[in-house]
Amino acid sequence: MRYLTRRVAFLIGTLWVALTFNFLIPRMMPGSPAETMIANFHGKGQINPNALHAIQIMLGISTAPLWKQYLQYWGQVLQFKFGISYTYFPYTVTHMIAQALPYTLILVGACTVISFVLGTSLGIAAAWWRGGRFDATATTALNFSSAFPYFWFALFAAYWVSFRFHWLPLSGAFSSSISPMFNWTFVSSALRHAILPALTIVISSMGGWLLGMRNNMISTLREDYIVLAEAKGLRASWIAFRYAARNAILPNITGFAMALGFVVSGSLVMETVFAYPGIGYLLVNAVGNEDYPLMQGVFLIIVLAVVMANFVVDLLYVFIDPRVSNEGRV
Amino acid sequence: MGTPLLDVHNLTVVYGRTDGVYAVRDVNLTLHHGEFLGLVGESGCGKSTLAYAIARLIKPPAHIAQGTVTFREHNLLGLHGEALRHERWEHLAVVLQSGMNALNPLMTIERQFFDVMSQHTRWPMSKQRERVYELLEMVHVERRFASCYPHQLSGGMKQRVAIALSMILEPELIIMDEPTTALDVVVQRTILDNLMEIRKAREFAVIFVSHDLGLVLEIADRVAVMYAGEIVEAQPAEQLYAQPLHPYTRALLKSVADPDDIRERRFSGLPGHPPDLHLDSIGPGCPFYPRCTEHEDRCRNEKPTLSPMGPESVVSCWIRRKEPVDA
Amino acid sequence: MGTTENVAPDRRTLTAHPVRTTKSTRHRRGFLAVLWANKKSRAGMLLLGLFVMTALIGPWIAPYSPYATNYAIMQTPTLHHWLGTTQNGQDVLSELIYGTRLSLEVTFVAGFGATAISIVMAFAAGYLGRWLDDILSFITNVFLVIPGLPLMVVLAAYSPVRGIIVIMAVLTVTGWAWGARVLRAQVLALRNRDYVIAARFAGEAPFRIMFREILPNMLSLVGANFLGASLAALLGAASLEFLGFGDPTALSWGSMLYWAQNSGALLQGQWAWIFAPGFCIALLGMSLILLNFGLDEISNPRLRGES
Repeated sequence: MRYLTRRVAFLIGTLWVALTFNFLIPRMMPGSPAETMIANFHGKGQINPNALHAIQIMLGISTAPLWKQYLQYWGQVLQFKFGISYTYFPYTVTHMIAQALPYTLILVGACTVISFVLGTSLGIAAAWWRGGRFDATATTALNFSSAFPYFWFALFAAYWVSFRFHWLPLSGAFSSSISPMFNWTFVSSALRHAILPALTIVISSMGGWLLGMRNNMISTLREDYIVLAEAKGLRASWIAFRYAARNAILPNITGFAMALGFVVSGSLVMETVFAYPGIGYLLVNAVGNEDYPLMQGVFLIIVLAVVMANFVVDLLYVFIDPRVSNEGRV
Repeated sequence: MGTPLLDVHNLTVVYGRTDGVYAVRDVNLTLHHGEFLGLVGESGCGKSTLAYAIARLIKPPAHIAQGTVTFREHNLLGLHGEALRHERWEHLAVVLQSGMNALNPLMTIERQFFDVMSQHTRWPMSKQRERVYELLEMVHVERRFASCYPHQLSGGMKQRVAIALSMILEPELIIMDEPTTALDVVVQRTILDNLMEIRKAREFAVIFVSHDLGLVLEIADRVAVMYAGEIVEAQPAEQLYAQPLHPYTRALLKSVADPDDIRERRFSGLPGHPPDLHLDSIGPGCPFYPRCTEHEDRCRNEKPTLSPMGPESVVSCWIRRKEPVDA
Repeated sequence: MGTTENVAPDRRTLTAHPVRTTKSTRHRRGFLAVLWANKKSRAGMLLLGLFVMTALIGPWIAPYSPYATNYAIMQTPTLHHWLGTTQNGQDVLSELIYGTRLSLEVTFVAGFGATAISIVMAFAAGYLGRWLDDILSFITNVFLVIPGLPLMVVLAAYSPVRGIIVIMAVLTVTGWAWGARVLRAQVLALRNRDYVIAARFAGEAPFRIMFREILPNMLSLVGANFLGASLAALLGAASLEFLGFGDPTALSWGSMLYWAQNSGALLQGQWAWIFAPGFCIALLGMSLILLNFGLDEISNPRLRGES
C-alpha cells in the first residue's frame, strides 16, 4: 500500500511540475513571441473570442496577478482547452492533437512493446551464452549503434528502401489517394506506411533493452540462488527463465520510464523524416511555425502520455515483484 | 568400511590461466558413507573452492586443472547433461554460505521445493506438498511459511529452509559451505542442534566447510585443516583436539580459547597472512614456513607431503614427521 | 584507487613472506595509463585525438573555405570535391572539417555542464541529505520521466534567440538527471565507508569531506558519466539542429545535416553530404563509448584481465 501511495504521489507530483513548468516558461522568457503571434492571428480571419481568451491564459498575455493566471491556466488545462492552432487555423489545438494522437499511440506503442520483447529476449540469449559468438556480435554492434544519430539511419532506410527500390512508401501515414476509413484498403495502406518508421524505431531502441537485460542477467547469474538452482539439478531452460531472466528483468522494467522517453524522443525525429502525421510531427511543425498554443498542448499531451504509461508500468510491477507489495513479515 | 562414498584424488583448481591462482592444490580426500567431515581454514585457503569443485559448481575463470572426483564409484567430473542433472540433488546436495541469498526472491518457498520434486521425481502434487510440510517441520519452520516469499522470512528461517531443501531427495552427501556464518550465535546454535538431531535419524554424509575450528570440533567426526589450498592435516575430531599435529592447527586451536565458549571464535592469535597463491609466488618450501614458529632450514626449501602419522591421521610437516607418535 | 583499504599495514608486519607486488602495482597506475593499456579505450583515445586535431588545425587542412559559394551546386563527389558540394555551391568536405570544432565544443561543454549539475545534485542529495534528498530525488526522477527531446524542443522554441549557446544550455538542462541518480547512489555508498566516517568524527568540514574524501574515490564513475552525458549531448545536438532548432548558419555537423535534408540531398543522389556528417557524429560517439570501456575497467577492477 505504501508503494501505491508513493507511485500516485509521484504521478501527481510529476504532472504538477510539468504543468507548472509549462505555465512558467512563456511567462519567464524575455520578449513576447506570443503577442506577435496573436497579432498575426487577426490576419487569418475572424477569431473566436473564447479561443483567444484561452490562448491568452495559456501563454500568459494578461495583466492579472500571477496566482490568478495560474488558477485560470489550471482551469483551461483540466478541460483540455488549449486554444486555437495558429498553423491549422481555425482548428483547435485539441482537435489537431486528437487527429495526430492515434498514429503515434499505435505506432510508438506497438514499437515499444516489440522492441522490449525482442531486445529483452536477445539480451537473455546474449547473457546466457555470454562470451559466445552471438553475444560478442550483438553486444558490440548494439554498443556502437547507440553512437549513431537516430535519424541518420532513418534517412538511409528511406533512401534505399523507398526512394531507390520503391519497396515501401516514402512518407505519410497512408496513401494520399484514399481517405481514412476503417476498411482493408486503408488499413493495408496504413500498415505499409508504418513499416519503415516502425523498423527504425525498433532497431534503434532495441539496443538499450538488449544491453540492459544482458548486463542485469549477467549480474543475476552470479547470484547464489542461481548457483543453488544449478546444484538442484534443475533443467537449464528453467534456470534461465524462471530463476535468472525473471529476476534480471526487474531493473529493466524500472528503467521503463527512461526507455519510453527515448522512444518518444526518437519518434519525434522519425515522424519528421517520414512526414508521419503523428504527435511528434505536429510538435516540430508547431515550433517551426511559432504556433505556441499547439506546441504547449502537444508538449503537455506527450508528458501526460509518458507519465501515465510509466504509472501503469509501476502498477504492474506490484504483480511482478512480491517484495514491493508486502514489505512486512507474516 | 567398504568403498568410500567420495574419493577426491590430486584435485587442483586454478583461477584464470595456468599461471593463475592455485586456489586448491593436489588435494586428496576420502569420505565414507554417513561420515561428517569438517573442513577448516582461514578465508582464502581454498576450502569453499574445494567444496564447490566437488559439487561441480566451479565457474570460469576458475577451472579444475587436474585430479579426479569419484562419487558413488563413478567419475563425477566426467558427468554431463542429464546424467549430471540427476546426480545433483538426488545424490549430492549443497547448502550455500549465504542461505539468505540462496533462495529465489520471486518464488514462494514451496515452489522452490516443488520445482526440485517435479524435475526429479514423478510424485503427485499431494505427495510433494506433504513432503514440503514434513521437511519444514523437521527444521522447525511453521508450515504457513510455505506459501511465503523469502523476504518475509528471517535470516535464520531462510537458512533452515535451505537445509530442508537439501534433504528433499535424501541425498547421500550434503556439502555445507559455512551454513551458519551469517547468523547470530544463538540462531547458529539452534540450527546446528537441529542438524545434529536430524543426522541421528537419517544416514547421510556431510562436508561441513567452516572457518570456525571450535564449532567443527564439536560436530564433526573427522576434521581436515586446509592451508594455502592444501590439506595440511586430517584427524578424527577428538584426536585433533587432543593432539594437533601441524603447527598451523596448533595455532588455530590456541586461538579457540575454549571450545565451549561460542562467542569468541576468531583466529586472532595467528599473526601474518596466508601466502599469495599465484603460481609464480609459490615458493619451493612449506607454504606455512613464513608464519611457522617451529620451522627448520629444510622447511624453507623442501615441501613436505601429506603423510600418515597414525591409523587415521595425516599431516604435512617436516618437524612432526621426525617426532615419534605417542598415540 | 582504494589501495589503502585492502592492506592494513599493522597486520603485515609479521609477514616474513614478501607479498608479490607485480599485480597490485596495476592499481596504482594513472587513469591515462590504464586507458591506454586497454585496447578498446586506446582506440577511443586515438579516435578522439584525431577529431581534436581536426578541430584545432581544421582551417589549415581544409581544401577550400567552407563559406566560398563559387563552385557548381549539388555535385556528387568528384576529384575536386571529395564529398561533393551543397545547394549553395560550398565544398562539403571543407564544411565537415570546419564543423568539427563546433560539434566538439557543443558535445563537451554540454557534457561538462550536465556532469557538473549531476555532481552538485548528487552531493546535495546524497551527502547533505534528509529532506533535501527527498526533494532533489523527486526533481531528478521528474527529469528522468519527461522525455528529453520534446523538452529540448520546447525550451529551444521559447528561447528569444537561436544559436549554439541556447543549444548548449538546453542540452545541459536536460542531460543531468541520469548522472545525478547514479552518482547519488555512489555518494550514499561511500559516505558510510570507514575512512569517511573517521574523517567526520575527526571534525572535518562537510565540503572538505565531499571533495577530498568522497569525490576522488568516484572519479571513474564521474568520468563515465561525463562520457555518457557528452554522448547524449552529441546526439541531442544533432537531433535539434537537424530539426532546425539550432543556428543554421553556424557550421556544425548537425546543421550540415539540416541543410542536406532541406535541400533534398538524398533524393538528388547527393548521399555523401548526408553520410559524412552523420558518420563523423557516429565516430565521435564511438570514441566516447570506447573510452568508457576503459573507464569501466578502472571502476570495476574485476573486469580487468578477463577481456
